[in-house]
Amino acid sequence: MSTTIAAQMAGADFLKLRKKRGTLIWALVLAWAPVVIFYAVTAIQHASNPGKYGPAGGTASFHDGVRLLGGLLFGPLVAILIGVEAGTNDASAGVFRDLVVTGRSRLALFASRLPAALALCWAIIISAYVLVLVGTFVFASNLATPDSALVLNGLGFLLLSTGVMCAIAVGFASLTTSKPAAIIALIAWQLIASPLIVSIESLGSPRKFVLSQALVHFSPVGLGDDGRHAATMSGATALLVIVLWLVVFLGLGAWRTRTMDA
Amino acid sequence: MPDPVDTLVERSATELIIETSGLTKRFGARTALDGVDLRVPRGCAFGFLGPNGAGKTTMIRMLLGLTQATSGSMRLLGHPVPAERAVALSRVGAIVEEPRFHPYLTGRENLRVVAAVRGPEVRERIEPALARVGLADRADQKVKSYSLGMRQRLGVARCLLSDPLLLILDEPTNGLDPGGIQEFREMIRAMVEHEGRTVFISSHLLDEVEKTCDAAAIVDRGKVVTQGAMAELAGGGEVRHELIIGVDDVDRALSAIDTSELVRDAHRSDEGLRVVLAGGPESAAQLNAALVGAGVAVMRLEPVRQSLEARFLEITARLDSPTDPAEVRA
Repeated sequence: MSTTIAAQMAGADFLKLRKKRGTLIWALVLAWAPVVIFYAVTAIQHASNPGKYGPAGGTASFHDGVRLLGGLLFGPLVAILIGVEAGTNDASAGVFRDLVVTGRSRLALFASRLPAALALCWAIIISAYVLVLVGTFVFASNLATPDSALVLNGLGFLLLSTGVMCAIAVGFASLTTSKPAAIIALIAWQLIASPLIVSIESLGSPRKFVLSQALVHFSPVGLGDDGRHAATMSGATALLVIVLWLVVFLGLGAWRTRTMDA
Repeated sequence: MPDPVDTLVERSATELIIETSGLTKRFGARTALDGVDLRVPRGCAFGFLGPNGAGKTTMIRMLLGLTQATSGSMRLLGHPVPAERAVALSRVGAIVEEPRFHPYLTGRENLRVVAAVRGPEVRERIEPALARVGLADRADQKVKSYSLGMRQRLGVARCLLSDPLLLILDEPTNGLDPGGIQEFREMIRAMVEHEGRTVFISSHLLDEVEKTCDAAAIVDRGKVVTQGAMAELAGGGEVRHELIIGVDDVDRALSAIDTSELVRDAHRSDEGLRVVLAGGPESAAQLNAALVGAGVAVMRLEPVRQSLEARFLEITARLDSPTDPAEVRA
């Protein structure tokens, strides 16, 4: 398959995603609303009582903004919504069989979902990150602001954490082919099961295999519980764990797409 | 007697566009298709006729690689499938069951999605395809606002994106009103007669197949029970040219044609006479001259249309009847 066709297919998948208004609106709300609310509230607090509340911007609020987006909460939720939509879109509309009968390989049909989902997910996350930066610098007053290295590291971490979660969501949704089931399972894992497993210190080193722990390793800001329960691991181990998650879920999604009755 | 399918193939003087051999599909203990040998010649409208649950959709799904055959072999456009499925399907358009689309996309956007999957050159065919099915002015509306008839037409437009040599349509007139059915039938005939495409139509509607198709196969309980040109099918594999003749004096007419070489069989009927010609339909004129020459006034001379429905019911009734002597006794 030529790169032209691959690009066209990814473009078509992107079209399907961006035109799915419900998903798009929810993703934008989940990405923008927490950031806007956070800076609005802290700015109002500072304006009403400057002695008690510091300025809404500065490095500390930048950390909070990155936590909100990439701190394994709203950013991953956006990634899950978009990834699941990309993974189930054709099957749930009943269009998958019409794509299969074109003769194009099923693996190519599966593969085109990933760049489309990543493109939309990252576009939304970057727009929310811009809001964080605006809040950080506009409301900084006399506080120190993050340097360009920290800004780039923050962006890199957000793209990594949401990209990985989005890819896993594409694979898992392609495996289940059920949008509600995939969303519920992934959110439950991300918000409930994952933190619970990590908090059980008696589990020891197997906690390294929890995806969020591997992702936290690459964060430029402190996340969650300040590492009280975090499983420590090297960069190589963290990378290996992330790759393992990607291989398993993308592999399962590709297998299911290749073998299921269309 | 020659095999009707062989006759049809010879007449078309081309290769087969669909060919299956011993095609079988089992779902657990249930056999959906049982050793199907199907031969569809190029350049015709071919009906795949059978009652609901006969295995028609399963057959189509296997041909298109949507599900795997349990055993047997298939060739599509001369290519073995699934081995050369991609090449074969590049010139095939298909609607399986009902045409489905992304409802929140417009008609044009839905075609863009499929065009992207088919290849870079296909995008240029979107506008002609929309125009061909009469949807050019509605192409920017969301598909969720389309009627069923419009969706069927958009489905055909999607098929046309591949500039298909073969269109496979599964129950294409389901849910269409009489006007829509007529329109659809005319479109299929135009594709066959003016564009040289082959159209394979699965249907449980006898009348529809009879009016639209040149040839057909009858499938029941997973088996193809007969196949051939439409006239041959209706006549049970034999082409019969039968006439209804209205005359002023039936007895004189019967005695006049009793020994004629033009007539194979003649008998009295409510309409006057029923005559089976020994030769082709052109001998009707000679028979008319013979009757007039014998002083019989001919008021009506009408060919009897062999009914596919009668043939279909005959076949399915035969399958229903027990063949085991023990079963008969019981």
